Amino acid sequence: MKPLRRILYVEDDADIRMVACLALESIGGFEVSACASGEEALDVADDFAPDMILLDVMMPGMDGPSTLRALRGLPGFADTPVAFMTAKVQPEELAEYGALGSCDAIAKPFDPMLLADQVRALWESVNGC
Amino acid sequence: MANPMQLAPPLTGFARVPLVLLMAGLAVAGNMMAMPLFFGVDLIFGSVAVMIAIVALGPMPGLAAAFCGGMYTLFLWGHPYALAVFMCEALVVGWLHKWRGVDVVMADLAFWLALGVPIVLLCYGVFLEVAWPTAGLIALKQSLNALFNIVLASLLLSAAKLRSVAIPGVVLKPLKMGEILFQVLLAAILLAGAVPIILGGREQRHQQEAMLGHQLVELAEHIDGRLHAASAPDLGALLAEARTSADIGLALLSPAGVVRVALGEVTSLESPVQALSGLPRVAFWKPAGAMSEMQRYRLGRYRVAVDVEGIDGIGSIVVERAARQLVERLDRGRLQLFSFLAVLTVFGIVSARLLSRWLTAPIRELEDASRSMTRRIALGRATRLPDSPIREFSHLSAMLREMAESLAGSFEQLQSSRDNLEKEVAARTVELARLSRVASQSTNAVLITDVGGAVVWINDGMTRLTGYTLDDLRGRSPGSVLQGAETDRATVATIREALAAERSFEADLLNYAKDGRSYWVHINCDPLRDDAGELQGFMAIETDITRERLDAEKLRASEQRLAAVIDGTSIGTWEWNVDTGETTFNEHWAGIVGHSLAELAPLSIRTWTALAHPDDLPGARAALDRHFAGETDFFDVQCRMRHKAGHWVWVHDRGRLISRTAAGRPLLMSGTHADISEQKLAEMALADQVQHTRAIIDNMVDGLITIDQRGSIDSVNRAAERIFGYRAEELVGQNVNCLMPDPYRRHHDEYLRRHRDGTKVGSIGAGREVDGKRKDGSLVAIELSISEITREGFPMYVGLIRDITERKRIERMKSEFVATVSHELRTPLTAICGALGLLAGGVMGKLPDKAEQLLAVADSNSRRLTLMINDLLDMEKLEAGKMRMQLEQQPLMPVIEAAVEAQQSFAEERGVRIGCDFRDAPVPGELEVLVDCQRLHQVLGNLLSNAIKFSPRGGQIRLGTEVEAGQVVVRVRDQGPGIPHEFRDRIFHKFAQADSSDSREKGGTGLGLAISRELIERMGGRIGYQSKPGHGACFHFSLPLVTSAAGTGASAAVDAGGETAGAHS
Repeated sequence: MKPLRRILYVEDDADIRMVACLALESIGGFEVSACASGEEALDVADDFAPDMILLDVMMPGMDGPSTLRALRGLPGFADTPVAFMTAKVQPEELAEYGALGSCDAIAKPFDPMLLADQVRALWESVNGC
Repeated sequence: MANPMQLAPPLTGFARVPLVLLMAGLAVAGNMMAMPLFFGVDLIFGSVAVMIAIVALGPMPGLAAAFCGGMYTLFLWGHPYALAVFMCEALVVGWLHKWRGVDVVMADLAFWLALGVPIVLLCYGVFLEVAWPTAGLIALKQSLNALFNIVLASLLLSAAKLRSVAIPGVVLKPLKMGEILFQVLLAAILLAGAVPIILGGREQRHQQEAMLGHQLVELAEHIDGRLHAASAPDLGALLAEARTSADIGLALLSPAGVVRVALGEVTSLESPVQALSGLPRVAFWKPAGAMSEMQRYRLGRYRVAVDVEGIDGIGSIVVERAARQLVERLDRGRLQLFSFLAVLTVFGIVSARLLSRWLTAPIRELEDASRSMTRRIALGRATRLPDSPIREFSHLSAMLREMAESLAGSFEQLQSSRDNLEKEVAARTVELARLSRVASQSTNAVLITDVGGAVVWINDGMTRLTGYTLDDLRGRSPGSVLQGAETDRATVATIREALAAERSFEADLLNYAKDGRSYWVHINCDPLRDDAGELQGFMAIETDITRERLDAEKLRASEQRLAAVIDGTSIGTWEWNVDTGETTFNEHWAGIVGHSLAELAPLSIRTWTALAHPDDLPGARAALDRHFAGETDFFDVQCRMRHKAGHWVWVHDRGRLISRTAAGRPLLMSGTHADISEQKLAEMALADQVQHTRAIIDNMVDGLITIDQRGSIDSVNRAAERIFGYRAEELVGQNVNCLMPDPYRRHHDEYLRRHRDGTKVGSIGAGREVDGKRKDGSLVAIELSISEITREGFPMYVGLIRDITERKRIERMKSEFVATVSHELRTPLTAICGALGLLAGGVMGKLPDKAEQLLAVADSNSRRLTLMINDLLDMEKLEAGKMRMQLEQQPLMPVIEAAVEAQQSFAEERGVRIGCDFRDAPVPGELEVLVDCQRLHQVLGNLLSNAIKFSPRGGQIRLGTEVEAGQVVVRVRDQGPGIPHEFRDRIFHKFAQADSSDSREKGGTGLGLAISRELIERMGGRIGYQSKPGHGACFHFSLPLVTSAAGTGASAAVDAGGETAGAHS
């Protein structure tokens, strides 16, 4: 299995973006590309070529699901694992996210010390080990 | 002619024994009285008694007599054959006479000809070995003897009948002319024939015996001569010489009587001899021994003894000769005689019979003719009577014919007069019957007494009225029977007086019927007198006037009652002559306006108009006109009248026109006049009250709708009109479900029906939030409170409706606000928590100790804030119905274990131990429940963290499960301070904390228990607690158990709003 290295992280809130990046980079040792919006993510995605994408759901402009649909339209992103990071983790909401083609969701607020482990666990589950 | 013997009752049984014995005795006596005909042949008369017994007493007594008589012959003659013959005779004659109706003489003749003679011949000829001629002779003799006897018996009976001798118990047939003639003729013939024959027979015997005796005497004298002629004769030779026949016996006897010489048979010396009458020197000797008399005669010997004198040694000469020859000779002669007699007898019987019949023929004819004579006379026909050559008969016949004709004439006359009489009687009977029917069926009671007042006759009406029949009353005084306790004594005295004076009277009287019922009668009583004016009795006509009396009494009572009622109710009355204006009032009328009648005088209609309120007069006038015009049945007005004291009195006048003038104008009117002031005041007070209530109801903010038990709207207030957009009149009478949206609308009628049937469904009472439907179809949120009242015995429902649209809107806004705020708060909080977390996690490396401490404070408070916001959001979701529950059937224990595990670090931090106690659950692992795992975890977490928080350091928390009635109960018990009393009511309320300081000391949002309750209830369970302050608390919740079979794989998604869908129905 290919180890998880590159994560594209989309979050409109700069503070949360900073904390998450810090947690993923410092604790998880991942290479993170943080975007402030869906549009930005679509711009950098092709160049960054992430192993996995983390998407906030509620964002001004393109929200999480729209961004996901757009990403899936890009060449090479049809199967890239995508996880939503959201406070909305009610069962039907989770089902909705699954239908959009995400692999899972990470509940907000997240524990920064555990975030890297959570993401890695997701990665491993998607890659079937 | 009635034979007296016939009147005597026939004797039966032992009563006849004396007569039978008498007849038997006579039979013996008759046989003893034998009349000897010749040797051993006697006429005997026993059968006379036998025949009389047969005729008078019957065959069996006859047979008994025959037996007794026959027994004597057995003794007399020494053989039983006569007995047998007599018995046969009695038997045959008795049978023929009794059952064949044959005359005894003819019956006896028949017996002897057919049976008697042969039997006798047989018995005597064969058994007794009598010579046939003798046997024939005996047969003839016996039959003739019998016939003679029977004729004698018949004659004796006839004589008895003629003399009308009455023998008790003996019934004899009436004497017939023919019979008596027959008997007399026969007797004459028999006597005429038999006597000479018998006498001739006797004479013949006598002659024969005399001749024999003479021969024997001569022979004896001859021997005597020869004895005397020869001296010393040879006695033997002498005798031999003298003996002329072999059957002659000779003997010479010594003086001493010893036989000196004997020749031939000399038997008579051996035994005594008997002298023969008329023949002094001849004696007859019969042998002794057991043989019949006849045989002894036949062996007998005639003897002559002649004394010898002068010859020594010889005293007498005995000459004997056997009777045999003589007897045989006599027998032959007598046989001829008896044969002749027998022929004579038969001839006599036949000729006597014929003669008697011939002689009595005219009498019989006359008898036959007279038998039909009565009928012929009655029919008025001529009577034919036989002519007779005999003058007397002819004469008698003519006389009878004459008499019959004369009788027939009289009879005819009698018949015609009888016919007339019958017609007249019939006519009178009809008339009498008619009168009798009139008297009987008259509704009036009629009673006739004699002069003394005793009842002699009553009619049916009397019986109907009193119940007594004529037999009950006859001979009794009517007063004594009919009057009773309440009968007026004075009236009775008046009646007695009138009766004593023989006067007519009329009176009304209370009488009593037989069954005790009392009734009133009007009595109209007249003396009955004969043509001479003499008093014969009294006749009373009584009319039942009970009903009239009762009616009158009822009327009186009713009038009294009415008066009492009017008096008691203080109702005034009035009568008004419309024509004249003349009016009368009663004292009550005046009393109502505080006056007495005297004060109001003179009374007229003006008295009324003067006192009435002027404003009310037009209305009263109009009501009167309507009544006079016939539009109303009653004149009925309420008006005010001036009281003497000056105030107004409300009165109610009610009256009716009683009569009109010939022209049709109103004439008399009467009515009542009642003081209704109090009623009026009450009415007005009520009207005020109603108005007041109405005003309140109409002005209240809340809607008010009343419906009856079928859902039909009864009233609607203004607020309700406003809420639903209808006008009251549009709604009244409609089904209240028109104000409801589906599904309430569809279910409401059924719901009401169930409520009526007693299935109380809990929507009565406290307010519920439901949707109403406006006229325009839009929905309106309302709070509905329903109460049940009873009106006129039927349930009514009052619905109080509050429009909560505004409140709802505010609530919604608040929820949305909370949700928004919470979400907006969470974003910065996520960043804060993350940043602090990273720092506290040492990502940035080691910080100074003071900084670490501050960082720890900031981190823990940021976590607390996160939890608080989570709780707030949960609460908001629950209240907004947005909380989704994923119910799945799963084992309970893993959830509990996970929750304990999750709280373990917190417990350790607090120095509290968590102990599990599942002893009450037999197989804890198998407890399955239908729950949302995450939410149940949340509940357990809340309870455990609360318990940990409130436990003292080193304390213990016990977690246990129990199974109770299909529920599993989970208990969390701590050793904390318990729950203060004042806090108990609101422990499950939002933001409830016992002490505001607690929040700082213990942490927590104050929402945990409220959320836990909501969650548990959403999962079908109940939550509660037990606590004593100072002794810890025990929180527990129950969840329904799912049996594995029923609930396998069961899952359901329930949201908070889903449950309210059916709340109204």
